[in-house]
Amino acid sequence: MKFLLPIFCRQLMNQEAFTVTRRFFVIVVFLLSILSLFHTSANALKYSGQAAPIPWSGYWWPFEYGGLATGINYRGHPAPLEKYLLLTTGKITGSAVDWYMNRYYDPDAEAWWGLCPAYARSAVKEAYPIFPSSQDNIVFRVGDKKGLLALCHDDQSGVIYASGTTPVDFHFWLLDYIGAQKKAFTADMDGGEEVWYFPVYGYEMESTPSGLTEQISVVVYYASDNVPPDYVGTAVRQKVYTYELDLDISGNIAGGRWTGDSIFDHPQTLSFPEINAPLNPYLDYATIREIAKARDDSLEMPDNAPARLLPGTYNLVLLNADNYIIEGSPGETAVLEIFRQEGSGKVIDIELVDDAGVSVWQHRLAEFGSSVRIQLTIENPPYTLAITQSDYETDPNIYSLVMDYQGLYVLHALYIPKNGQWSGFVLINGSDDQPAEAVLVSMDAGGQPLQTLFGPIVLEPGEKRLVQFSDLPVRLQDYVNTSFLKLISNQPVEMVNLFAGTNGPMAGFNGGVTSGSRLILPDLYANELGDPFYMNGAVMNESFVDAGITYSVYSKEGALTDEAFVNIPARGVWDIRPGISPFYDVPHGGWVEIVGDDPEIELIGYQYLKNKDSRTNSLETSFALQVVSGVQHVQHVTPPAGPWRTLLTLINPNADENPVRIHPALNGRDTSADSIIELEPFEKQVIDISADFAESAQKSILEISGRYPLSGYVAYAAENGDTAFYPLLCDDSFKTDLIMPHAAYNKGRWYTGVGVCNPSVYSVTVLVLPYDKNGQPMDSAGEYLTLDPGAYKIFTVHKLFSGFAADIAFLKIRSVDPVTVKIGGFYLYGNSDGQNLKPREQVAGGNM
Amino acid sequence: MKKSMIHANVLAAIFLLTSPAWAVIPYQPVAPVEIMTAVTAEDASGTQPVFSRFIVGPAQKIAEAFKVGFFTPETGNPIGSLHFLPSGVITWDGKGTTSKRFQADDLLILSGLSVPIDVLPVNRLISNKGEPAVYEFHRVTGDRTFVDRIQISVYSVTIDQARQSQWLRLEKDIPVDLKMVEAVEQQTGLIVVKQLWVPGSDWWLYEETPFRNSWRIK
Repeated sequence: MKFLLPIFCRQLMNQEAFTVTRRFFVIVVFLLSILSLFHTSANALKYSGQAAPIPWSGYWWPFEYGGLATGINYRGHPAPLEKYLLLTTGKITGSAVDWYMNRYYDPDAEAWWGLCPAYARSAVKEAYPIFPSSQDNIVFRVGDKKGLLALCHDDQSGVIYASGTTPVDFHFWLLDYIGAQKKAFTADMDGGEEVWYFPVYGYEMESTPSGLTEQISVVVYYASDNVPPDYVGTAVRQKVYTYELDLDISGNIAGGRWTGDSIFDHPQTLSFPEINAPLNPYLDYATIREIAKARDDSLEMPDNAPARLLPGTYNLVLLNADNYIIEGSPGETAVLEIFRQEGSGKVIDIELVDDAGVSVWQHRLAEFGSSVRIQLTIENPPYTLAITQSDYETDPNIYSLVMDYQGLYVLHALYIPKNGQWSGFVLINGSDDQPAEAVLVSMDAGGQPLQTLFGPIVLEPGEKRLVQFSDLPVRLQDYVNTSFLKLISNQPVEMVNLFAGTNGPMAGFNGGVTSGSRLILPDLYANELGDPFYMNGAVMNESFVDAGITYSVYSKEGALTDEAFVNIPARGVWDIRPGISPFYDVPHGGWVEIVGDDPEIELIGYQYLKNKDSRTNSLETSFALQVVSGVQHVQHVTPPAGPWRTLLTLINPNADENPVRIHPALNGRDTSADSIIELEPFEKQVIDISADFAESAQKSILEISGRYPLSGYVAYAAENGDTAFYPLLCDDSFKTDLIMPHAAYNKGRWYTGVGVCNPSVYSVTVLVLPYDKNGQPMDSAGEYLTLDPGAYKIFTVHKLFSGFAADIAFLKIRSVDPVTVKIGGFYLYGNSDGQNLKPREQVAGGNM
Repeated sequence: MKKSMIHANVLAAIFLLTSPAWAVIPYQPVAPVEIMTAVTAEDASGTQPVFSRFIVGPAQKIAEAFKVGFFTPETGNPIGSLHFLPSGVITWDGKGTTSKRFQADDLLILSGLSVPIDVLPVNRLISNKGEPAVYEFHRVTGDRTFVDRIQISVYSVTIDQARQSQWLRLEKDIPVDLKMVEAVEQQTGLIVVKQLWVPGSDWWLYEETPFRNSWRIK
């Protein structure tokens, strides 16, 4: 309009009828107009303000998707609220999700309904940098965090409001909140039915006073919510508003009105979150704030120093170069698998460098969803694993790293009880001079390492540690998935594992695992309702290549009921849940043979067996049995009149009849008391040797030998009590030095029974030497036992070492005369009532 | 002995009932009052309004002042309290603050606050049949001063009007003649706050601002 005036004037002046007076008048008006223009510009005042820090942009979580619990329009499951529940409860379902779904999820909602007011308030009040992080191995992306923060700002009861009906309060809020206090506020920025709140954080204002009015034109800056949930930073939007303020004679602002386009398009409501809280009563604001403020992951060390990588599965954030140290001993094997998760557009570079600085492996993960696996035979440790990308903070990658490790020495606790049962571990370094470094690693049912729960610790010679499973830092979300544990060490370490309910029977995994390409699981039950027997188990492929196996299921009479070939992936697990998988028709009391198609591949297995019939209440776990050629041994037979029965289970895994001789070794070459058991092809027999060998086996170990290879174990079953299983001892089992790794006593609540046997043809004297809790030998308390050929002796620790029981941590038993005779041994823990050993409700043990 | 005790009790009761300190004074309830508030600012788009409940405790006399506490009913946690000082000044000590604070001897309006704590000159306008008044307030930010002129008046409302407008949620016999005390911006006529009263009572039945609606429910 202003620029049209001169043209209009020229047209007027060209008209002939135009008088001089009129021409003069027009010129004066024109000049005044020009003057007015300059006058306005000269008086325009400029102001600006900006909050500090400025709020971030975030997603507004529309109700039609309910993405914070459904994951729709975001990254699926686990959705942000599910991750919160995983972190705080270990489960993805719960009241927090239910409450949200009830209030904020409506597939029929209007498309514009959503959490924009709550987002805007959270962006104002939580205006700190938000980066992805991994907490307890749960990755919270930027969208997860901003979404959870929005849910902490949906309670309006602490919000201060002002109206945008006139521009007076808007003007005040710009000057006061942003200009003076440097605080952003939120506003529904325009007219219309739809409500769109944004965080307003800056303005550039031009004010032109004129008499008792002041014309304002202001550019307002605010953060956009039209961004993907994982957006990092502030996407700026701006909008111009114009209005007129009324001034009183003192220049005070006394009223005002919107002008121009702003009459119809101006902020409707202003709000400032004075106090914030979640409406959802199941959310904890402090926890969510802690999640939101966290960055990076648990392997991030001060000054970005490299972290030692221990076995486990890690979900990680690449916010700077990630460097890891891989320790180990030559000959050990580490397997690394790195998976690039979706989200970032940046490639991941990986490099592995040995101790000499030689790059031994490099790889680039160019696509998200891609992964790489490397099997590293340790040669020149330590190694450094470097994982890098470009533009860390603007577009960080999320990746998973699995580190599996096959140490020189591995022990297994193949079953972890849940639901209120206690489970404990005794770790002991029985060496006289070598320290041992050890870690205790949790594994999932598929054989993948979950977490290093304990260690690395250095066990000094003679040092013993007690570890309760309940004290281990198992992540809540991993608790259900924690299926078994491995103890990995660089020197031999003994481990005792025991578990039981408060008053229920006891079991555990003790002694070394039996491995091989041919294994026997000796007890199968169908797990039918009402059946007092319950059984499950597993076979594990400990190698780094896939293993094909053939399993054959037999009845106790020897009938083949099922046979199939299956593949167990490298380091994988083949679960046995009779009645569910892998076989359904399970013969009661039958057995299963597992044969690997590659004899070089080492398999291990276990069975878990409960029996609560009228005579017993037993719980037992045992490693899978080997098939043994030659002589095996029962090292102790309980007397027929006592409370114990000794039950010998023999399995003939051959297609031929297999006569088995049972010979009391103490009888030497006299075979008159021997017994021959005829085992039909694939037959299993359970023999009560307490009854059958009552006289001849007293004080004698029994030699078990078949015409063909055999499998077997012996069970000591307490009448109306618990049972303890022991694999039969074979030649490889005997040593000159034994360790009884844990003396259970605890003020007489437990007793420890010990048996020592001499399978040789020579008499031998053994020294039983107790060690105290500091790993020091209690020399004055040592006891000598003399064992005739084929004889055994049993004792309880508290009786043999009367007066010392409370101080004894473990025993070493070794042949001293002659020192070369190999001996065997076993131990049994039982609950007692002071010195009364009768309860027998909880017994378990292992071979030494 | 017994007669004299009864006599003394009757005298004490008469004294208490007639004492100015225990007369029914607006905003100073003698028994707990429960109120319910819904924020009506166009905020949680598409969701049902959230009703917040508050307990207003009986007025406590502390020295020469009176204190009226606001509590959450579930936990009893204090939200804040109104203080009626001997000087006539009324203050709010609690959660929430706003720079748009209109404070005079018989008036306290914290504009935009989500808790209904506003105090209007009810006694003067209803009991004493005072004339509408205009109050002027200044608020300052930086070098600018904003002037707010609030006009407060009272008008009659019938119980039928109140019911039709859904202003009543108190399950109790309510007199037919009610009074609405209303504060508006003088220049624009926009409502700042209005409160529906039973003349002679100690707490409003209904309250409304541009941002919240509140009801007395007990």
